[in-house]
Amino acid sequence: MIVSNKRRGYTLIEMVAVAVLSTFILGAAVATTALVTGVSTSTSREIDFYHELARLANSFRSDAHRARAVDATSTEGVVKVPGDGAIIGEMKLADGRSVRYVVGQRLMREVYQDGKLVARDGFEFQRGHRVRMEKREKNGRVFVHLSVVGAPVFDKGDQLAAGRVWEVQAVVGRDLLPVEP
Amino acid sequence: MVKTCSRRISQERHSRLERRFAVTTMEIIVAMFLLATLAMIASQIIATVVQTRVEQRKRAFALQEAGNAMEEAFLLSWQELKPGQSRQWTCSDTAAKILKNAKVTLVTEATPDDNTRRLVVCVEWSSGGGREPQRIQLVAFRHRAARSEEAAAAREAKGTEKGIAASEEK
Repeated sequence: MIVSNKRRGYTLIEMVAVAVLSTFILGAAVATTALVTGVSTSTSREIDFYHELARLANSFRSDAHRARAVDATSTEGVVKVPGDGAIIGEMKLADGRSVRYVVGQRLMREVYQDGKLVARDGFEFQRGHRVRMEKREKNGRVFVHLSVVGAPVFDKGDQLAAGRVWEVQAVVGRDLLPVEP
Repeated sequence: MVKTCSRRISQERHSRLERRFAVTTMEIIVAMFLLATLAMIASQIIATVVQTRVEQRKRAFALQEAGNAMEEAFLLSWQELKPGQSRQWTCSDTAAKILKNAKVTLVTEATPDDNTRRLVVCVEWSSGGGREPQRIQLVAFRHRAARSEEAAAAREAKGTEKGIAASEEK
């Protein structure tokens, strides 16, 4: 009888062991959930970035192919930095319109006709992404390059991210080239 | 009689408690096993997600490289685009850093239409770990522009019977 009365509750050691184990399990569960959520968020951000980059590449190449002249500043614009938007380049199209690429809260593609803004298109990038437009010549042809340089904020812990360059090249005036004999 | 009975009950309870103690140990083992299994599954899922993400990034880079190569391929003259011809393209420095042993190839293929060529830009890179190399392909069609003199003649004869006949012949 005495023995059974003693075993009716839990000992302190048992309680401590259970508490430690419970804390460990809960901590592991919370850490795993946080990790999975973090990976999921950054993955979806990265996929969004690829979509925006593909959309930008299409517009950029289409503009460059129809351009008579390109004025690239070769300066970097930083996305989501306070201040006025920086014009990184302008293309004069064959139909008289001009297209400006401006970096501000996002990368903007602005179409002007007779000095008036007629269309505007935005491309969402992460804060700190740097965008640059350059004109280069290769084999007697003029190419225009649009580079998007990755920001460390975007890829936390990824050492290569800061210097990673996404580069889109396009031939200037490809659609205006003379008919091949 | 009462004493015997109470002792018997006490013994039963005591033995049940001993059994209970053994079950608790088993429970801990089972719990640890389950925990280890769950941790293993979770780590496998995370590893797969990270691996997929890295692969996705490489594919995005490869696609960008293929697009840039296609831009240059479109500048080749029609005479340079012989069917069955394959040429190697130099990989950009950035892509070379991301894609291991990257190879960019342009293959020109014939089509049923003699005035059209199928251009295939293929980017191939090794994925490591003894796995098959990864590759992506970008396909575009290049059409031969009408000869300038033919085009001029067609423009001159436009609207005339000769022009209509010429276009019908074509």
